[in-house]
Amino acid sequence: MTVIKTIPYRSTFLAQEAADAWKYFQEAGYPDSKNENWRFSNPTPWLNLNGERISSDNDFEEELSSYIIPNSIPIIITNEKLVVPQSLPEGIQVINIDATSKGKMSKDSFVDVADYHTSSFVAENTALFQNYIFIHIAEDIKPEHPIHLIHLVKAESGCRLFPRIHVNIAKGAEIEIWKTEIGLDNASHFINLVTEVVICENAHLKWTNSQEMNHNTGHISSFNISLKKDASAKYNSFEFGGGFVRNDIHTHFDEPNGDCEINSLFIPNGKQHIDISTMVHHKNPLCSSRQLVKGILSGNSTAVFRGLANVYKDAGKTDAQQNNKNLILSPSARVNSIPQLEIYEDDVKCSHGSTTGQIEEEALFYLQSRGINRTDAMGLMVRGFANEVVDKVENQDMNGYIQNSLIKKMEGMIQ
Amino acid sequence: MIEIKNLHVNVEEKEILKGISLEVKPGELHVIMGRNGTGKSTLANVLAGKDKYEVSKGSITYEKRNLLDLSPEERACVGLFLSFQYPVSIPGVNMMYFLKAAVNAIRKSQGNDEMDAVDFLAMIREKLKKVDLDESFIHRSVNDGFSGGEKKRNEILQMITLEPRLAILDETDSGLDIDALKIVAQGVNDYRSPDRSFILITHYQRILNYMQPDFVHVLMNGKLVKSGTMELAKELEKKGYSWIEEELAEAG
Repeated sequence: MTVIKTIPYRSTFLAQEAADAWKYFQEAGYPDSKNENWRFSNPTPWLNLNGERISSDNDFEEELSSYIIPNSIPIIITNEKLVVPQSLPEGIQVINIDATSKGKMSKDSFVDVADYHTSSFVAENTALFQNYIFIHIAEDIKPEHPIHLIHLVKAESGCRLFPRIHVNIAKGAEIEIWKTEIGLDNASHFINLVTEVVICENAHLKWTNSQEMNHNTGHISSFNISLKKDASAKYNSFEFGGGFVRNDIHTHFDEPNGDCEINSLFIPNGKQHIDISTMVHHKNPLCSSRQLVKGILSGNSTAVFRGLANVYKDAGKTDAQQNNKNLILSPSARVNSIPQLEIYEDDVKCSHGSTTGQIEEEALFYLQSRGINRTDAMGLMVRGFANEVVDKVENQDMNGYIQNSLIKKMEGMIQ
Repeated sequence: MIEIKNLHVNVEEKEILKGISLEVKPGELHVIMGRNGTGKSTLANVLAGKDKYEVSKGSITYEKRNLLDLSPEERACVGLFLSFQYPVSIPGVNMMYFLKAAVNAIRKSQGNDEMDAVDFLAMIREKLKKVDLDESFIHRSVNDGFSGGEKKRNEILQMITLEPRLAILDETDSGLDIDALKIVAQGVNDYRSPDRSFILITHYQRILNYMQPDFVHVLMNGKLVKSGTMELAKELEKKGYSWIEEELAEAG
């Protein structure tokens, strides 16, 4: 257990939760390698334990416009805080609940999705967050354009950030949300992010995440989805940045007949470490989940994929699929893949698979024999490998954004 | 065009080609026939520059250059093309993307401007028609899920798109039904011209019913043991290869 510097936990907004979470956190401490879920990822050097919470409000004004993607509704988050937008289309509500504003909101208007009784980091965030960014999509609302959450980070070196986002998609609503997470400086930060998404009956969400933090940042993210009856979620994540990255993606089928698709692409180079951990809780019958997680590793980078589909008793007619493929471009890069199934019900269809390999020489020769030099041929093949995930992003503006980020990331990765 | 002199090639220490000499002049179509395992594909791969093939003796001169000094991509850029016996599938790499990259790599090496998307599309549409392929073909991944016939037509599509001066066709006829065979043969015939040469490697005489070769050679045990014209191919079709073996044995 790591010694934890005492930061007073919040005693105002969601005060009871904060107290409970803090208690759990004090008892559990940060995970170490003895914890099976963290066996291949050591967060200790990235915690900035002597660092302060983010204090000052940096000036982000000049940077905002360059991050806007066409045909979207931009909403800016700077460090932990929401920059309240001027106006939003009808049925979309976005508010920043300051932790000091006591009892502004009754507990009934949101549901806990992230479980702070099983994760130290979720507990730490639950106790310490200062801003509760709350997004509500009203019943049957189907906005024409996607919401684009632009999360910018620029802060003192060594600081600790605890952003918290809660999205509620009411009955019958349909929404696409993008989130770009961008590190604007090169300083060392520890970010412990918790996102909760509740998708109500017959509501549908498409979420695309692009994580582009600087390589001195430890980025721990817990993304939690709760699906009600007939609801669907499609979650795409692209992990480009960060020095130490852990993304826990938890899906809860809380009612029957839900559908969830998780697509993730992680591309560490240099000394980056990226750990993608998915957990799909098939608690109810007639739900289906499909996971496609791909990694491209170069340099001395390391990565972990841990995927679990957990089929509970009585979750009949479950369809759970999971596939992990990794491409290793350098002899010193390493990936650990741990696909898992836990099944407590007979009437299910489940599959999982994992492959790790290098660029195929036969294919390289084929491309070279058509006049394409070796570096470009590798580039074509790496992009081809990535495209299976990138093309899950149907929206052409966002697809283009991800393609560009991918090209930028690949520069210098291929020799 | 190309002159191969006394070529010896080892693969993993084993000598596969044991002294091959062959000259192909502009406009000529040479056919190399032989049984399985005689070194036909080794010759094709050495010409295209595949690694793990060690040339222990001899030389290959292509348009006054030492071909063995060039990388596979440089060979393509100076006008050499190999139609693969077993084209490899490359999932995720789109045909259009691949062909455009290849066309522009070759154009660039020749000091020409790169072709833009509009011009490229117009050009490739014409080429697709010639091998009887639908436009949707170029939106698929390279050879991925292609039928045997589609793979071979794809090789011919690449040949007529990249416009090489020397095309080596390695068993481009194998595994094709009669319709696909005609399309492939037609693609090659249309592409023939006084400054373009071909080396066609094949097992069977069948495709030669649709083509007019200038020379036919028999490859046996790593050597070209007999050369002739179309008549030789017809004789092989009738009598098989064993009579040549007997002839060789008699000659000692």
